[in-house]
Amino acid sequence: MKIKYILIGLLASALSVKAQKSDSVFQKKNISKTDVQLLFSYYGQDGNNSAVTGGIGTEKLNVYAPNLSLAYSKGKSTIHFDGGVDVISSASTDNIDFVVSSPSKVDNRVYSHVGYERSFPKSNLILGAKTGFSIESDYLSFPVLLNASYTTPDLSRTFYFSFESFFDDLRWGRLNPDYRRPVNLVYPAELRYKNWFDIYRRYTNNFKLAFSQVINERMVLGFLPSLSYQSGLLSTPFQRVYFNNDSLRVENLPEQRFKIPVGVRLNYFAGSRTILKAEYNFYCDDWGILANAIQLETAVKVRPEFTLSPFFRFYHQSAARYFAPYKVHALSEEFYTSDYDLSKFDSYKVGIGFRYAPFSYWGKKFSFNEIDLRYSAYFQSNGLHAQSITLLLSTSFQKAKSILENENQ
Amino acid sequence: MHSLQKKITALLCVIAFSSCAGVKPYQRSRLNDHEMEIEHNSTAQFEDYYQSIREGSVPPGTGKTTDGCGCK
Repeated sequence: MKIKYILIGLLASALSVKAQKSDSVFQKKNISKTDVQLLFSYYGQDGNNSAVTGGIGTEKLNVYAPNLSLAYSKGKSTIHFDGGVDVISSASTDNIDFVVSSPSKVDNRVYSHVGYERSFPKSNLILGAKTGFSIESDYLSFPVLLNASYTTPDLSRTFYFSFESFFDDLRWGRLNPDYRRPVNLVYPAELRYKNWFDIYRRYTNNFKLAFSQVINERMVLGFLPSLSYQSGLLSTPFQRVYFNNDSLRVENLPEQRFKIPVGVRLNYFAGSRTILKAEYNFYCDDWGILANAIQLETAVKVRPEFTLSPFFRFYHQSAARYFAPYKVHALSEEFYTSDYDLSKFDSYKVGIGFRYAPFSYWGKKFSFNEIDLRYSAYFQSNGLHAQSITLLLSTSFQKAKSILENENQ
Repeated sequence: MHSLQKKITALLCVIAFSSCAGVKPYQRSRLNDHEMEIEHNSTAQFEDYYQSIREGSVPPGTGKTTDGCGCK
């Protein structure tokens, strides 16, 4: 008798559950999501070809750069925010006035950007816009960025396009407590007897394209051509040039520059835990610089959530036609610089990245996505050497609610 | 050197624009891996940034080619 009742009860409950499922479905829907990224970067370098002292002298420099990045997504819209401070301690800029430990030794760059992106799932399109500011003691920059990306319905191809404009002002004084306004360009102390430039603005327009193609289930190819045009004051007003007759002037470079960088990237998933990444970059500009770079990286998944990525980069560039070392330029030349960034050199970079990405939930709303640590050592054939360390922490907050929906609706 | 560059470019164009094998959704597990993204991640972008200041060229596809003086 008891068994009969139990069987009837089980049958009734099974039917009721089935009946409920046929009418409605219990769904968990994401209402909003906020991605938070904290980035701590350090860059240190040393060398003996400082452009501030005419191609000789210390290039010792340390930069500490914390950054906070937020992305708030709701429905088809995403709002981006990022901001940070670069604390720059430079021995060479300290030589603008040759007073050791003067205010020019330490500078700060404060910047922030706000962006909006909207996706159109039916047409696989994403449109975005971004603006912000960047300020230093002798630099103010306003960027404007527009971007669009389209992915084919089968997800095999992605086209990306962006247009960026930067409006820069190189006058000093905004962060000085005595002025709090732009005053003048910063010249080396002994060259302040006249104004070397009658312009102080710099304009940059970047047009970037990116195309990625899935070759097969293990291989992706990327092609990244860009075009950049700069105009205005492209010289750095506090960089000295010593001539072959011992005279001294401020660096003088043309007021226009076209740049063409092109990159090709190939990623290949070999076996079950190794990703091989190869990258070739080509660059040329109308100042005479021709550059080639190749970078190889191998990402090894030691465990599904833990990846080790050693990498190597080789780079070669030819010199700009306006470059000459200390006391080599002739006064008859129209344009001149002793900035070794524009000289002929090779560079090597080696490093390793560690990534731990558990994507684990702590509670219902908070997820810890990843921690990423990357170290690089950089060497130039002219003696400059540098190293950088970057630490990334990534988390997400999600608001979700359970909705009982009728399937027939 | 230039003929080698042309051959490499031509080879890459053939790879890119030839009819690639269709990849079905259940075959995308490797393609969807974070490490397969063509764009550099945030930590590698910092290296692109300092290289763009320390070298005469700018890396393609990076988020930043100015927006600061880049102290020497």
